[in-house]
Amino acid sequence: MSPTSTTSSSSGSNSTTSSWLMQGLLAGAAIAAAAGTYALISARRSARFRSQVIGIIPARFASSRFQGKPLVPILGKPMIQRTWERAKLATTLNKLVVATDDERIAEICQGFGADVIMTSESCQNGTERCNEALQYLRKKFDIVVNIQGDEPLLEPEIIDGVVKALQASPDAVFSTAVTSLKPEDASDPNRVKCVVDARGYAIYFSRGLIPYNKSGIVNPQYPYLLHLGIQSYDAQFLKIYPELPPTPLQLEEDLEQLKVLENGYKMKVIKVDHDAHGVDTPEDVKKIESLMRERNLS
Amino acid sequence: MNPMSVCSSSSSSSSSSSSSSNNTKAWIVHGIVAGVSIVVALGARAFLSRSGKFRSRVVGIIPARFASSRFEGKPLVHILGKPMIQRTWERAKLATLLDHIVVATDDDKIAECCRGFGADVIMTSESCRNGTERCNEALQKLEKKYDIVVNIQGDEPLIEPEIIDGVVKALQAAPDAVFSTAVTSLKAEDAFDPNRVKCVVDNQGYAIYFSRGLIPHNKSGKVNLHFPYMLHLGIQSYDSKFLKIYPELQPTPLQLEEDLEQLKVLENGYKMKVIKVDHEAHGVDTPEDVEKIESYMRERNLS
Repeated sequence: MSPTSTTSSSSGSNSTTSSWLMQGLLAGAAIAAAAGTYALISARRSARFRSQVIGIIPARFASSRFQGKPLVPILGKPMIQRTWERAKLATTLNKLVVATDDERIAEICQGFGADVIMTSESCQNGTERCNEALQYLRKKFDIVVNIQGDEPLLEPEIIDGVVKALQASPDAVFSTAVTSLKPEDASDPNRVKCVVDARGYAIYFSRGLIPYNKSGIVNPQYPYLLHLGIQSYDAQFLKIYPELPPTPLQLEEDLEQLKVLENGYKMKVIKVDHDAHGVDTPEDVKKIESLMRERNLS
Repeated sequence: MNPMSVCSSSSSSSSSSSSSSNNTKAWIVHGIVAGVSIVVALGARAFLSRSGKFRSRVVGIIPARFASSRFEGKPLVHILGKPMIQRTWERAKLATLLDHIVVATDDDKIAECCRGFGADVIMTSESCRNGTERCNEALQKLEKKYDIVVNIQGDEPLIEPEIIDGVVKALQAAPDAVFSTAVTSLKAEDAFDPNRVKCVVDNQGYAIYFSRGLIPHNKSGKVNLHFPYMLHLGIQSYDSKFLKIYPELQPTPLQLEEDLEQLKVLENGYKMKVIKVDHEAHGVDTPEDVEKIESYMRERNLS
């Protein structure tokens, strides 16, 4: 008997088993390392989730009630410039553009330093215009904030607020803001009311008073919510949103945001203190100018 | 060299190599068997949780209390000679998806009457504030386990059994919902009646909101004769795990302001499935309603 050969064959077979074991362990370790790295990268990314944010101010010239509205001077400065200057103060926007269909608006905006994207006249609303502008941009953005051009006194904090709300809620595709509803506006169908759930997700929007109690009378103690025009979208959602067919509640109430809820998407709502000063008619211009003079705003 | 020893050494080495390769093979075989068992187990689980056998055990509970501000002893009131609760129970018996029906009451007279016509009865406490709490208490007292509880209102004696089956099927088909209920067409004259609760749903049949005010509310504020408004009906069906925690959830702002308990479900972020049915609501709330429903039944030759 050759002890050498026995030893070598048993150690050869031992080494076969142990080499299988080693390979198994190495494979396991490699998988664990890969999984750990992936988890780390995803975790880091979630701190940077939806990190690229663009603000878009859609501005069209034509209007049934107020032609050329974005350019109307408010205490000497075009309204759209005021909106743009306010938006510039927001800290969460990586970029800000005006999206318009009109050369006059484009020229004025470029004049005060704004980036402008030309979009088609056929856009039916601000959301479609934002979506079209988004497609023309070379950089990729995760969040689009639709900043209404006719709220020249919008606080930059509200822009930041809707962005942060969407960044903190991966399951929402849309965020917006509400403020306190004044009792005198309770039965005004042009003031849109909102109800939310315990975690700040929108339940419903209505031109009627909601919540509606048994008496049907406004409850002075109840904190009703008024919907403000600012909207912020997940960019992937914005790509499909304008193309979704209109939905029954949206059409009956004439409230585009209902399309989001009727399609089962989730919407985050933040509560802010904001006196709405939208400019819809020439009379609104005078109102806002008086307000600004009273408050020494220039 | 001794050829025998070479043979023996080589055979011993081959036996040790074969035993070690046997070992390796054994490990491999173990691994494969383990892997296959896991796959089979997962497959079996997936197979069993097919919606056909999901939430498969269903109990119908008819909560019935004696006391009432408007109508004492209401469940026992006679409608064309038969106690109302018996009529409701007989209707519920015709539903095909209930494995069991019980009356949950706090009163011996009701219990006796129900046992008299063959119903199973569970006694519950007088302190239950509403039908949902009573259903939950009854559920705890039942020996068998159930996946779905249908809360069948005792004061809708003409409820169609198909509606009971409908809310059960809806909940079985929607694993992400914990609650299901029914709506029917709202009549235009009820649009501004705060006692008629309106409902709006999404495009998959999940409830969006319930309100005593007219929803949807258009710009004119008037009823749109062409819009299919929805009236909420009293029937509710719960996932039994959800029912265990639901009565204990804190009341929520919209629920309190509208005085609509179902809003607590939505405000807590739970999903609710809604089915649309054709049903003329004939709830009995007052003694006058008894006469109304008796005329209605006589007209239609219902006994």
